[in-house]
Amino acid sequence: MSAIAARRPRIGFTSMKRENAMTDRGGGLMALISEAFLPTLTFHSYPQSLDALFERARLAGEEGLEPDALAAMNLALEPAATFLLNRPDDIAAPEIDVWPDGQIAFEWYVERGRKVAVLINAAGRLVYSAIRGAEHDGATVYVSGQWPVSLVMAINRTIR
Amino acid sequence: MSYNPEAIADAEQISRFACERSYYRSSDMSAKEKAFALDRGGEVSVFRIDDLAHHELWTIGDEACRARGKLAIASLEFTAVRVRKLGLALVVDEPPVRHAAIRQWPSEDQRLKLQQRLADVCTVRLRVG
Repeated sequence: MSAIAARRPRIGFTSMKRENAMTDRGGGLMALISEAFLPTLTFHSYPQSLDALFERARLAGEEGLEPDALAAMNLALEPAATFLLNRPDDIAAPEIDVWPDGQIAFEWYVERGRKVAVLINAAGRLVYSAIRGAEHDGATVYVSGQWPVSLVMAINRTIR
Repeated sequence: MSYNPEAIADAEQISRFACERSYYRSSDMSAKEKAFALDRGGEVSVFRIDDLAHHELWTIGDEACRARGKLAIASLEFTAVRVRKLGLALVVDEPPVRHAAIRQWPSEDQRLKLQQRLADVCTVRLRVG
């Protein structure tokens, strides 16, 4: 485990009541959040980025995401939260969004032609693409306790 | 350019209608790759908008967003040749009239790259009035 990963809180999602979250756009999601996170994270270790993630997910539910997309999004919350919690300290927090199919998106945007996008789906598959003018870095991996070195390098090359 | 129902010319103006604000950035009026998320059929639905009056444009946009219970709030516009230069297919897909589809998307990160590239060439026209 890297030094960065060791500093990050570890969370478990096995107690999530996914069925609740999938059928109740508001209350279920909040139940999922509180049951999954509050017992395992202290006030001081609860990262703001998770607030942003769950707030965006809540809004996506209110904005009329299709039921199957909502279900996919709820499943994607776990790997997306894992991804956020393991963000290296020297990389800025990304913008968070939800795609129409329920994938959770993270973005670092500098300007047209210079940006990084990450998509995480319900299975924890992570697709990223970084473009810098004509240059491109991209790959498909699975979310784990550490970010792929290639992604970290792509972000550093693109947004700095 | 006059509308030809049989074929789409490279110089034609194409629109991807935005049904929500998260399809573009207000900060620099650029489109987001999310706007080119594939639909269930694995394609992106667009419209050919040359020679349309203002009200006609937004009537079509509202129709495009109706399935999601929304109204069009912006038109993300680009020329047909931009799509083809990315190696994607832009084909007539009527009805409805003027509807077209962007097809032949690659998989995974290559698809995301093309969605980013296409977003980059868009001009964002907000609905006013």
